[in-house]
Amino acid sequence: MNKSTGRISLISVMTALTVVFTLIIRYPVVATNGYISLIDASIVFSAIAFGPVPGFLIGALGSALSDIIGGYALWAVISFVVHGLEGLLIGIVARNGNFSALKGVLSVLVSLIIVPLGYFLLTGLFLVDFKTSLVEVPGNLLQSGVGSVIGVVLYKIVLNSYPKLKNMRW
Amino acid sequence: MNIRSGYIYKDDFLHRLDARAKIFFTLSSLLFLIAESSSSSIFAFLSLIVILTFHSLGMMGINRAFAPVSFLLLFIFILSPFSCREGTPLLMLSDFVLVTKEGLSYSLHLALRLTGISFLFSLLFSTERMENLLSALTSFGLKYPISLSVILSFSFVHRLSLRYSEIKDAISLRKGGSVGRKGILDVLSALIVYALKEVSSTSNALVGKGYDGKGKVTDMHPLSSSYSVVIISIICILLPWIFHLL
Repeated sequence: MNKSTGRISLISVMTALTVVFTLIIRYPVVATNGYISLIDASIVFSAIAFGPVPGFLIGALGSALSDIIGGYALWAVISFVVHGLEGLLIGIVARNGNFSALKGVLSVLVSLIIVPLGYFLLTGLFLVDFKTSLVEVPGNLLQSGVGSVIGVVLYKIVLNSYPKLKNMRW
Repeated sequence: MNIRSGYIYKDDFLHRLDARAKIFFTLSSLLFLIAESSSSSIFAFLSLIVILTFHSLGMMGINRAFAPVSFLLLFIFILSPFSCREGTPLLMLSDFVLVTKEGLSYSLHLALRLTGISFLFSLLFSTERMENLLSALTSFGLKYPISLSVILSFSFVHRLSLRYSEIKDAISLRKGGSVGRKGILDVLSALIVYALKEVSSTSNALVGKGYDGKGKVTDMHPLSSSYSVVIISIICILLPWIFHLL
């Protein structure tokens, strides 16, 4: 496989997968008029499987496109930054050696910290004030917690059923 | 699967406007909405955007822009009593000041800003095709492989969502009618494996089309260059700031 086209294909397909994960399963959160999706599952899976750079690109592009397609374009730039950073940091945490339970726990922790904190800070700074952006924190905590655990579990399942995954890391 | 497509096909002034001019207008307006301190200026500008949205997209466009922020706006006003405690009291409960004039105007300012930003983005993505937006961003210097990745992603979203439905149906048939919570992991992992297998075939297809990472061989349309585009872009950049003078 050509290295350059392989990378473009990987980013394209996994970005689309992130959009699909976001849009197929959406549990509405009445309190915030938002929704809980599985976006973090796809980002955590991609960051662990492919590394920090693909993790950043897939997280950033996938979340921004999901917001644009899903009608939440207002949050696209914030999602780009927050989920991009999430993918980058989880990719760094999981980059060397075999994937262990400790790395899985660290990935979930990174997701639990970055996503609620990132949305809280950026929404408070650029869109509303910090008191209002606090409203979104519980929903984001739930989404990133559940999503990242599913992402880690999916990585283990897919690695068993598709061992070539190990060779796809950048 | 409920995907609300961004672009709404129409043939009017806004739809025909150059994508670069729309991006300039959106960015300039975004800066205006964040920097402007006068609520009346923001309100006047928001009125223009709402009129443009209604003229170009009708009530569907208004609903699409307003829905994502409606509940957040409600929270802004619910939290209004706690946002600003100082100032002229408007509503009191015995000695406790519930709402001050300053607190209410601050909440109104936030609500107008948030609504304005939502309408701006909604107008941009409803009146311009994503391919043209990417062509415009490429002409501003966005890396070509990133543009190509985004365009390819759009084509894969539909394909993967169809595959998701097929896999889900197959697994629910095997499990006797319902996928269940545990079965959803099987569906998602099968979808991921399918997506991973698509990577190499897409890569080969790109090589077959002549793209080797150096050249630019795709069907991405370059946007036309003319003085009128430059003039319209300058007008679009200046337009929001006229409201600052009001």
